[in-house]
Amino acid sequence: MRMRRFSLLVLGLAAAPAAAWAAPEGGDAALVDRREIVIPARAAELVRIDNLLGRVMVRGTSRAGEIHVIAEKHAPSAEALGRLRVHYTAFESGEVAIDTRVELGGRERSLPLGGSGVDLVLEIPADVAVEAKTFGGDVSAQGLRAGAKLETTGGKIGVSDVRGGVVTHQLRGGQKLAAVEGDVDLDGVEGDMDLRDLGGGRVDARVVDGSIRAEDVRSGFVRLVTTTGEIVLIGVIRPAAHYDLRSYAGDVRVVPVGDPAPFTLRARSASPVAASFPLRASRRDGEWLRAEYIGRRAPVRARTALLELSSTLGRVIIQPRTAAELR
Amino acid sequence: MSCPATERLSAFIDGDLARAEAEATRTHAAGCARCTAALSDLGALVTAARGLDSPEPPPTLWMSLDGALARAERPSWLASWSSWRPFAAGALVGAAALALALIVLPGGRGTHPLEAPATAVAVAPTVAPDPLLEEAEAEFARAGASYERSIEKLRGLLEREEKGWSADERARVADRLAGLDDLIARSRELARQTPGDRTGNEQLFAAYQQKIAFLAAAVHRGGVWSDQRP
Repeated sequence: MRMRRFSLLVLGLAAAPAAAWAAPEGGDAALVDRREIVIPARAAELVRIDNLLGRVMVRGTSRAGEIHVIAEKHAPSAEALGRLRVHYTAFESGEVAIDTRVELGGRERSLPLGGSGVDLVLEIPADVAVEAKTFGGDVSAQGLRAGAKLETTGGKIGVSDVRGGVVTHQLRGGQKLAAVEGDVDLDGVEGDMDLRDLGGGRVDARVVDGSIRAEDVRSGFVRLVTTTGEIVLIGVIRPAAHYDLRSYAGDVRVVPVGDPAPFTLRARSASPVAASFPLRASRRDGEWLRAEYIGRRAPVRARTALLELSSTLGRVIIQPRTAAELR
Repeated sequence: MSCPATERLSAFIDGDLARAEAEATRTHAAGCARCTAALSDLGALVTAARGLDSPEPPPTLWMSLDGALARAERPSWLASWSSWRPFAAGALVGAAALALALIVLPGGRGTHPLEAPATAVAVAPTVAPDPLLEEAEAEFARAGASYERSIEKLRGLLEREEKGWSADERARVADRLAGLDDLIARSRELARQTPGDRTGNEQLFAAYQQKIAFLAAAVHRGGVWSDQRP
């Protein structure tokens, strides 16, 4: 594959005068070097960012044909600062790869560091897909129109105003998504998930040790699963939609807004299901309760939604917001 | 994906695979004991190679290589030197590496052991550990500890659930967990053998993730093979 390879922002000791002392978030004073560069990207379709050395913030812009990168390096010494690198490679296939490295033993390596790092802020054409990976740094995407795939070991994940699919992988740190029009697939081990205003066809979120709160989800399929935390779903129960909400140790709570569409309920919990809606034809099937809600003003032949709610050790609750909560 | 050839696994360890292929190899190896073992062996080989002494080449080596290349007739198919310069540089480095390997590796084909390396071994200075490398390893270790904590937590929940299972179910889960533990142990060894290389640690993290996913699924189902959902 032919490619054009460029090395940018290769900072050595000679460039140290351009750097300045500053106090990063951690508190300790650090030497900082901030550079900006514009990458021509007329045919770019995908931008991959691999930054194990710090944070990544991506913003979609209407400025076509170029990628604007701000790289901020920080280190406790000029010697360490001089060993941090940022590279980009533009492939003819339409992929642009941007990565950060540290020089170790005569080789440049992609590794996380504790006391030094590189934070990247990128403005890219909104219609370019983005894949970004960090280690300990936060990763966020905003204003994109071709989806995003974000991965981090210990950083927070933030997504807002994105069209297209969103996929995440995370060890710990928590995730926030808002205003996404596209399928959503979220995976986390530790940390809460906060989801708002999701309009794609499918939402699938899994976390082991954390709670999931989802509000105003308009997708036809919604699966939220946590092991130790609780699940709260707030919003309209949509006709024919399938909601699969499961927690092992926490409560599962559905807070319908307005008059819900007719739904079939399958529920399992340690204590009786608490529902403020008139459920009919209730029957038990093993440890599962099955019941129907026909709606107050259900139109004839309204398509029934399916609510599968399970909490092994906690409660299953279906009730509107209380007056206190509304206030 | 079927098991990659050994040379592809070797290229994976060296970080020479394209991103997509590296990702596919990593995913495959995370669930394949054979490839994990092969990666572990290759990693050990890389470590052993790194352990070899690396004496400075004689000052005349580069000049003689350079001179030999300059004397060589330019092939007719070499249209533009400038466009091939990167490859030529790579070839020079490769040739130098080969020459070094022939000097260093005992019993190298077509060579005889030189006397000089013995002296070089004796005076080779001890390289101090790089603080940045130690930082990187500490970061990886912290992430590994986080995975371990989550696994411990899930183990506790699983023990609670297992009480209601049949002996057969418990045995099958234990068997699967033993396989995953083996995968983690091998991956950890690979990571240990290749300090400063993210590949080994990513392999280890993938193994942790596999175990976490299995434990979480087992806990949720309340008996892996007896999901009674209607």
